[in-house]
Amino acid sequence: MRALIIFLGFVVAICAKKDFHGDQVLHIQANSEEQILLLKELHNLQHLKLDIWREPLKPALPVDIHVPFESLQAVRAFLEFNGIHYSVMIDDVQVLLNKEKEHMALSRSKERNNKSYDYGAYHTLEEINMWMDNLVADHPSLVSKIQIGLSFEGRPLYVLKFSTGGVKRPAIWLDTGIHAREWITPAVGIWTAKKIASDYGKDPSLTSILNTMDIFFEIVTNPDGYDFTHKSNRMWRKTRSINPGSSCIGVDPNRNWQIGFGGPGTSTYPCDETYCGPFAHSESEVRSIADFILFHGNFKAMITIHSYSQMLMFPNGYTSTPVPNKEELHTLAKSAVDALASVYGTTYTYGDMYTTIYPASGTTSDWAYDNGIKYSFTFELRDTGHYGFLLPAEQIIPTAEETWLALMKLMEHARDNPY
Amino acid sequence: MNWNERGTADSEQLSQDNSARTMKKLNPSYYETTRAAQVALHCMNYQHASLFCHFSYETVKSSSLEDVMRIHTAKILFSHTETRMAPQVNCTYDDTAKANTTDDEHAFYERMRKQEKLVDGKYIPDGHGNIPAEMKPFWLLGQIASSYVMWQESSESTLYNMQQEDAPLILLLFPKQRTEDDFLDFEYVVLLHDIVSQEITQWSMHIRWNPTHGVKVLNYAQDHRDIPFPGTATATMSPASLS
Repeated sequence: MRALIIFLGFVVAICAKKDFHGDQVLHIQANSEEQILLLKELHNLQHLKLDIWREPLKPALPVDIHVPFESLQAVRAFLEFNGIHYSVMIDDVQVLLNKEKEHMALSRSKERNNKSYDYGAYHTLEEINMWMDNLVADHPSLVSKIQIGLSFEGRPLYVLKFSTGGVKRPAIWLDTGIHAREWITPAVGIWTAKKIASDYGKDPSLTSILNTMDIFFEIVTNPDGYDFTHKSNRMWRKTRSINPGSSCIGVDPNRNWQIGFGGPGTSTYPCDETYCGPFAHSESEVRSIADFILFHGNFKAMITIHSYSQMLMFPNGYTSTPVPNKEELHTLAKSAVDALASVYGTTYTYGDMYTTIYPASGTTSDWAYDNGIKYSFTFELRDTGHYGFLLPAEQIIPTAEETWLALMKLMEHARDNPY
Repeated sequence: MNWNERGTADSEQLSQDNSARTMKKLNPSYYETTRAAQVALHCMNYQHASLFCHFSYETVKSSSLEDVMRIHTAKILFSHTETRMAPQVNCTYDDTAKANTTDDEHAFYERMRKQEKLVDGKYIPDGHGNIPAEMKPFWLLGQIASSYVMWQESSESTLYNMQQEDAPLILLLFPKQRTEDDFLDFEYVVLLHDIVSQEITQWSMHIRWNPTHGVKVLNYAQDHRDIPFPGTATATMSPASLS
């Protein structure tokens, strides 16, 4: 036996190789401690370039060795001489590698149609952008992706358009992710967009909505901020625009709208979280939406989604003066909140923004109302502060499921009350 | 304030010369009421909550570590005097729902006393809201202590303007354990979120706890260190195994 080991020791070593053609993986079954020892000594012969997949430990456990083509003859001779049983587990390693590459490409293409997308997890901006393209690819006759502008840092501002045809049909606007740290909102937005696409043609109410109206849905309304929360500061709220003369970054996009600009509930200090900005619509993230909606001219409902507090609110936020159709909005909000609670018992408060949460000027919701969109609502999703912005991912789908019922109430009302 | 979930709520106010008292009706859906209730909650959590029994004024999906108590009445007196005082809170509450959590608390306490190395933790919850099971007691401890800080930092002016902390919290914890007599000492750094101003502030606090005496905040202060907290951060605790 020793002589044979020495013989193997003289096998010429081959230099590092670039491919694995002809290499095999041997599945070896030692039947004694002696044989285990032999296999260990075999392993020590460096020039054989053996790649051990499963170490020789004890006779009961198999040993798997990747043997380069050049060493195959010597190793097989050694095993046979010593009566060590083996079989060929992998006939040609390169062939297997090629198959694996194919498989990876295949599963990447599976990701390309959202079959493996995890709706119960938080995703990066890149993943969300990929998901959006997949959604369009999966539902091409219903969903398209529009770009309405660029963020401060140059990221595209994407909006998903759900339409069954027509020309500038009365439209519903939905947005999530305007405040970067409110992660639950784009997560719910993604589930909701998928829900809309899936339920069209199946749910009678949603189908009738889409047969007469279009839905525009901006999932990541503040992509610069969202990306920043992943990479740098989980608690970032505002945009990432540079404030001239200040070292502090960003403007509160929900104080930047042209309605009571700079009024109660805003700050003029760039370092504050509710900084309204140097002037209304200074933020491209805000201006792009405003321009889009005004140019379109036929929006009938606006729903902007935030977290947290579990509230459903309507205008006004910049003043305590109620809006003309306050009673209608109040009743509608109640039915939406009741529908939401019916799923998991989650309770929401509701009312006008000024009294329900706090005075806030220059908000999306007030601006929309001021520009003729009389069904204008702001959601504050789960929770009420137990986890706050750090809502555990397992609450994403339950939150989305309950919120969906409230959204349907609002959209149905817009459908049933054209103006 | 008598807090009645479905009806109206009343609050008592002490005027500056302590002579006149006015009753003011508050609509429970108004944020003023919510904030007053929140102050009561913070006080109650600090004074009455044990580690595994925690007050909340809405139904929380119960884990084995938490329980819900219904608040029946809470009287909140806000002083209008020049020197700012923490609001006085008298609470009565329904004791019947109290779960048998002392076993869990004692087990946790004993485990911590046996730790030779200092326990050091980070990001509880982490960027995705995860809290590993073995870190949950530390989080609850931090919540109770934070209730104290928020109670102390509240004033009636928080009802009407946007200055102070009175709001629910988000935690980033660095507990360090140093056993002293039969207490456990921890040093926490927490993030508190003020709903009204939307500001996140950072506080360090020295906490002392044992199951019989409950939680005490020995001191606290605003903390201005730059502690990074990216969304990709994951909850960590060393030594790794706390069992």
